[in-house]
Amino acid sequence: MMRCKSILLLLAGGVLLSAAGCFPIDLHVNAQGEMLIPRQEGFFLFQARTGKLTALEHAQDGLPVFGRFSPAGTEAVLVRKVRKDFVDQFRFDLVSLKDGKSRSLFTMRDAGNVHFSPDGSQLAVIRYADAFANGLPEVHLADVKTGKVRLALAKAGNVVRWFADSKRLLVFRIQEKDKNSRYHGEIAILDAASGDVTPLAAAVTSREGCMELSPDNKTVLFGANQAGEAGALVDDEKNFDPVLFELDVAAKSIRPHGGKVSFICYSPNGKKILLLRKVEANLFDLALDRLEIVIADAELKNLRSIAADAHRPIITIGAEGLSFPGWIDDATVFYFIERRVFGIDGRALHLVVIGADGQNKRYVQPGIDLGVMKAAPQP
Amino acid sequence: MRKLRFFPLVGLLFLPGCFPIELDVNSKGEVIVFRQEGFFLFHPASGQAKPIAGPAGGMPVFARFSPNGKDALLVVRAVRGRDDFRFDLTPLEGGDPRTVFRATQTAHVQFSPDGTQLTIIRIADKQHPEFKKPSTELHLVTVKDSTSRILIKDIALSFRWFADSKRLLLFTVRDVDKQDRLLGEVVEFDISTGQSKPLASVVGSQQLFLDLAPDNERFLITADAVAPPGEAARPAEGFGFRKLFEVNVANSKVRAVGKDAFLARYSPSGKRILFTAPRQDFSANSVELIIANDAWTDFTPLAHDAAESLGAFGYPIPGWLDEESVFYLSERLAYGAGGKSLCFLTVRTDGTNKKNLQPFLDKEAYAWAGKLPDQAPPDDPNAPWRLQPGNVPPDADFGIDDFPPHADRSYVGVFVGAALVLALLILGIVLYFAFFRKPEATGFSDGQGNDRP
Repeated sequence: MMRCKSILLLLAGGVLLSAAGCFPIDLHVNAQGEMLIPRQEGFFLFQARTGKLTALEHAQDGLPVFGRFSPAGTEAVLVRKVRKDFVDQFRFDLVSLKDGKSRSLFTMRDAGNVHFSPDGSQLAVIRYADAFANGLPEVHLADVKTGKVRLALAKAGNVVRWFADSKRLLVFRIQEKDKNSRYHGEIAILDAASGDVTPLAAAVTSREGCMELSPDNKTVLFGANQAGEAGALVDDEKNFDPVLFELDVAAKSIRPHGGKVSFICYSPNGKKILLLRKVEANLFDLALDRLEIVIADAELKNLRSIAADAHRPIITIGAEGLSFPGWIDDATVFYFIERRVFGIDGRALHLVVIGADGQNKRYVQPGIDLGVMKAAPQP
Repeated sequence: MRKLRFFPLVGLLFLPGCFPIELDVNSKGEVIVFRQEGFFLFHPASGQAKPIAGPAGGMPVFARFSPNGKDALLVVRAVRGRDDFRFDLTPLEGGDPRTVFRATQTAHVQFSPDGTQLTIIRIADKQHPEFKKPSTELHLVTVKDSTSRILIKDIALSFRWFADSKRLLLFTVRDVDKQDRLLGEVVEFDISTGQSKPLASVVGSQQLFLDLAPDNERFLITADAVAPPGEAARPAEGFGFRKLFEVNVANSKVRAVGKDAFLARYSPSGKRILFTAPRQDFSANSVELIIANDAWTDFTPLAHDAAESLGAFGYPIPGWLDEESVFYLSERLAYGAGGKSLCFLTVRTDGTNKKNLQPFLDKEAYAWAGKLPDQAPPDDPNAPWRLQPGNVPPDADFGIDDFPPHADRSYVGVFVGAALVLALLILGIVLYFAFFRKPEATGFSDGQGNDRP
């Protein structure tokens, strides 16, 4: 019986451990419209407007998994999955885009995302707590200069956003997980220095919850099963999927917008909003593997569907395999599709660029792959 | 042991499109590729591709060159309306396609060497009355008039035609042991008489793979154990991978190659063998690609990144472009650790000149996306295949566009697999908390950032 328990425990633990620390596919775009692409050949910059691709760093030790440009655009933090002490860990390197000089900032287990503060002095890193604790995300703050890392908030959602002052972060603080595996908690402001948390609203959300801070920092758009005033007990029985809410940061007032949402992203100038939501299924088409991209104005009016083939993985382990769309500029959007390249089961994840008006759709993946072949010839 | 009259393809029960990814190569070195944009002739040497046909009203899932090279058999899964597989014979130099067969739950197809017949494997509709599991059926289709009959049941998916177009090399299942391994025989099956001549006793699995040498004097098989017919095949104790064996057709002499292998294929001359094997570092993400000489004295590793299986369903099979080069499929990480893309690679048999040709293929296919015809051939109400099992009876027939798209049942299997994994995970967590630790108490915040019990 003990051996049976041990085996089952190992199995469960193995799955849980392998579930933690998975970066999503979330490509960062700089002011010049260059996308930072991590792939097994290395890190690359892809200029979607011209189709030009340049190598930033070739594959070294470890697997490139993520990258972020610094706010000044002169550096980038590149994340690699490496093997250290017999376990997979993530190494965060700061690379100068001018001369290519690189220094390792820190290495961390079970990391899942990273964001520069607007002043470029800090990194907010999402890390997943030990699977045998609660496995919930934590917010860690790293000093870019020293590489020193400290825990800022335990039991947080996996989405954080910096306020423009680089002193505060928008977080979701988890208080409880219910019987339906949903998280009850608060959308709150975390003071980076003191660790104080100021609740803005109460919310119930699943793993698919999302959150975005407007560029002027006055509004938060978020997806939740239900939301209410800070401190209130919210009833989550009504909505199976996350629906869209709007929060006025100053007034702490909430306005439900309805409509399912799984991802939100403001355009660079804040005048448009990209929403990702499930394609409406019917009896004959479950549409389980696709999402719809909708563009709205800043008031969430004039919604326009521009694509209904954005990729949605059926099964994910952690965030690995989740891909998010984004803005190249105020008029152009990118997103991912899953292409069937050999029969039904031979698939490939491909990048698509499309105008925010739904026009001028371009399949840019072959160009990226050919560019990588030239820049990093050995397959 | 249980008596068995079925092939326990439990996994395949959930697979609506269980064709492997096996790419045919013609004498010009062209590869026939089937993808969502349609069917293409891809020439790896030049990187050029040209379309053969569009998606034809469904999802392209498989294709074969006819032996004379003039036609192609294009297999389309009709995702609207009938939700079955349509086998269209299409002239490569122009002309209208013709549906020669149509059925649900088909899994593989091969031309006879003389091109007059097709053998199509199908998962049967009726379950075994005792074990409640499906069987396999091998349908023989006459290309000329599309008539067909069921040739034999309860065989493995892997089979081969002999060069005379009169016999088939098959694995027939006789029983299943306690470890769910298949016990049976590789036989030489005579199509006209229905008689089987045993060539080897085998203990294998559902993934058993057969290949017949071009001279038809030997065959390769990957299995747990192989012995001459009439003798008991005894697998090694404990966990292990499938092994590679070569059997002489004439005298059933068995050579154990002494290598773990998933599948193996003879080169066009038969003098070399390409096989896939587990990686030396035990990584489960990919497999080794190895070339051996026919004396089994020389083994050259070519690659360690060949895709072995794709998630729960896909089964890519590498192959020979010519005597000096091979192709295989590899899953490459195009975006971080989770953004995978299946790629077509070629490599010479000495391990040099490895090339990823997928971008060239994608570029050509995208150029044709949405431009190729998407209509199925005319539906013939009197087609002979309508009377076969797995087809809608004539009086219940309807056109492809009469109904809204069917539910994409590709994910029924995904749900089942996910449910099994979830059940196992929940069981592990319950046991952990029951025996090792108590749940951590969490409560509501008191508004001051302090947890309240």
